Amino acid sequence: MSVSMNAKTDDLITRFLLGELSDEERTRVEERFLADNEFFEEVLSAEDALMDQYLLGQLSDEHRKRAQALFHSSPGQKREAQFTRDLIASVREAHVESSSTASANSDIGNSARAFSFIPPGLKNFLPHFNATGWLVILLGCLALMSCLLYLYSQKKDWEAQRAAVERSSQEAREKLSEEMLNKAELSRQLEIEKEKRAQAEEKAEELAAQMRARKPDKINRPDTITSIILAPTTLERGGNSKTLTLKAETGRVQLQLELDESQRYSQYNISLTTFDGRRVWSRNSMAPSQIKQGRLNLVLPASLLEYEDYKIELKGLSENGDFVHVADYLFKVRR
Amino acid sequence: MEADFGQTVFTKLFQLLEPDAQSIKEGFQRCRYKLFKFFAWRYCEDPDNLADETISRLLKNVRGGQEILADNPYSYVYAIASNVFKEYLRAKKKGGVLLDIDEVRETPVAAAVDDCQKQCLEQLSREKRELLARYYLDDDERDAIAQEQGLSLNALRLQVHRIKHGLRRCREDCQKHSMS
Repeated sequence: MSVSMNAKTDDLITRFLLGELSDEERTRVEERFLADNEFFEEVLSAEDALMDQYLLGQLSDEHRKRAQALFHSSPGQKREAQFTRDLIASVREAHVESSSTASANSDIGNSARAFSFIPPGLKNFLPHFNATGWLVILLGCLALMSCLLYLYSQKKDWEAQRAAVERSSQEAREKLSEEMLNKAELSRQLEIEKEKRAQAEEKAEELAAQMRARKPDKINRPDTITSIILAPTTLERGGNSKTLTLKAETGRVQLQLELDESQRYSQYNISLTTFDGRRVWSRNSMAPSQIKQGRLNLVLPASLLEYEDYKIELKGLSENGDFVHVADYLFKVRR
Repeated sequence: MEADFGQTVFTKLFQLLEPDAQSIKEGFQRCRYKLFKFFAWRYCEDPDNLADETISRLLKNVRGGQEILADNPYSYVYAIASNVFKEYLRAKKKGGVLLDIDEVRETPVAAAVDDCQKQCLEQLSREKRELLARYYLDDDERDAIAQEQGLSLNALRLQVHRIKHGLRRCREDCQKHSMS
């Protein structure tokens, strides 16, 4: 027998499996599948198909009972039925997984499969329609197709509009975020400027405070002059030495040295020392023009003078070129 | 000597019964499976033991000098198997043991799936997996598949049966491997 069985053989095998054959027919089938490997395989495949129908609940009541007896007659048969049950489960499970993935990518073209929910049993009703019925169905189908096409085109439009809206929304979002960034940058710069300004103001305030603090010094600066007229003396530490009292605000001291105007020199040297001999100040080669109204005026910073006894020695350049002693002046400084 | 003789009888018998088999072992397995199905399709409770009993008697008879017709060797096997079946029925009747057929356990199919089954399915080619999927998911698809492949519905069933046979063997091997 060829691989492709005819319907009669198929029916024979199915009846054989369901125990519906006569003894004679059964014997023929059994002898045949034992001797013919191809036929044996066909019987096996028919048994598989019967098992599928049984497990999928596609058999009539009578056949289901017989199939149940066949597939549960022995542990071996049960194992085979269980194997097919597992296989169907695996295949369905795999299909559910793959279809859930595929559904995300599915397009409208695949939606036609959505009608597969119509039970196969409904097909039995089809032959009962007459020509008018078929025409109505045809018109209905055309209307449905038109509807689908319209919806499809609408869907495309909506998708295009939605894409445009999403694009403009995206642009707006980008612009807004850019502006927010700029604003943030400006705020940051403003903060920096404010901080700088605060620092500058603080510094200015500090400086002003320092200035204010220094102001009294400025007032006390050696602007005030204390003057004293000194006459030449002949006695060391003489009792006629004058006292120069310096106040805190005294900046400068004017010493007016009285001179004998009859004795004039071309130049004068002056030195100021303490009684211990420490030189405090000196000036050489002073012009006689400095002498006014019989007095040689010296202006010295008050800071040079401390609580001490001082002596001023005045020398004049003689005609023979030597400096000769002219006069000494004594005074005390007290603060 | 006797062992050699037994071995020769065994080899000759299965070469005669299954001349297309690649090996004696394969010939023996094919013959045994036919006998298993012979008893299973007669609704026997223990087709495995009955198949073994048949082969045992067959070997014993051949060793005892029984000749087997070369043109139809299975006719003798059939005769022995029929006797074994009759004895089985008699024994069953004596023992008063009724066919203990369990009600079909309508357990959810997904719960029965095991790892070996999945592994073996994954090892199948994509075409075979798709064929199985279409075959089992929608009954109406079967005609379409057969048409697409230029096959009759029965030839398609045969194809599915072969895939299932391969899967069954794969799963048995896998289970043996996992148990060892």
